[in-house]
Amino acid sequence: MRTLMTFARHEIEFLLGFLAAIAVYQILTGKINTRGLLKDEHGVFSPGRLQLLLVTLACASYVFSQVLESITLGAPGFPTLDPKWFLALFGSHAIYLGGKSYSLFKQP
Amino acid sequence: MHTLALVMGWIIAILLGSFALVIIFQILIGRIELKYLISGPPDNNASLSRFQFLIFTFVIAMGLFLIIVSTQPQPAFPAIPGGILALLGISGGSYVTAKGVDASVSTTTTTTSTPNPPPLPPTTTTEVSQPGSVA
Repeated sequence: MRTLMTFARHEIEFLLGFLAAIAVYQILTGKINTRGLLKDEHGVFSPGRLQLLLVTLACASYVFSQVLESITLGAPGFPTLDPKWFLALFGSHAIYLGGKSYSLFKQP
Repeated sequence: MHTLALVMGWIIAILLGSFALVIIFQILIGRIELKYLISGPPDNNASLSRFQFLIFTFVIAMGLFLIIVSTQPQPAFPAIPGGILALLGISGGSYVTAKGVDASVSTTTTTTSTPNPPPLPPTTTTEVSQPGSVA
């Protein structure tokens, strides 16, 4: 049983690690298309998209750091997120979607 | 029963490993193309909603894996709090809403930009000469 567990562990480590590495590598080298990530439908830089990207990265970093901390403390588990994080995410999405709708429906 | 569990475990592990190897091989030789992983129609520009989905998926998958292998005395599947599911839900909801806005606008512009299609040019009939006929 221990051999099976070790095998499965290395298997998932390899799969997740490889997929993450290939995604990051291809984004950095431009093979995965990131054109227009921070621009609106008219090709203009969009602050709404930038703030959503920053909030997303902050939230993801927080969750991952909390997971690592729980493992370090010997009680591994997902964190219970503070409602402020949800408020920030909801607000951020509202700004992004509101800006997107306004930009699209305001076409000449 | 223990032997059966062991055999099933090995079968599933080898099956998953085979799938993983095939997928990784296909990515490496370029048959699975990731170019449009975070972008899509209509203009193939990158989508922030897709990018967000990608980030949250990786973070939660890696966190889950680390928690499972770190649980003592032996690995166990943890309870997943509602907040973590809500993160994915918010991300997915935003993606669907953005798609809805895009679809709504494209439908509106399609119906308003071409109220009457231009008339077709008159069709001309050409006579095809038969092989044995005199022109």
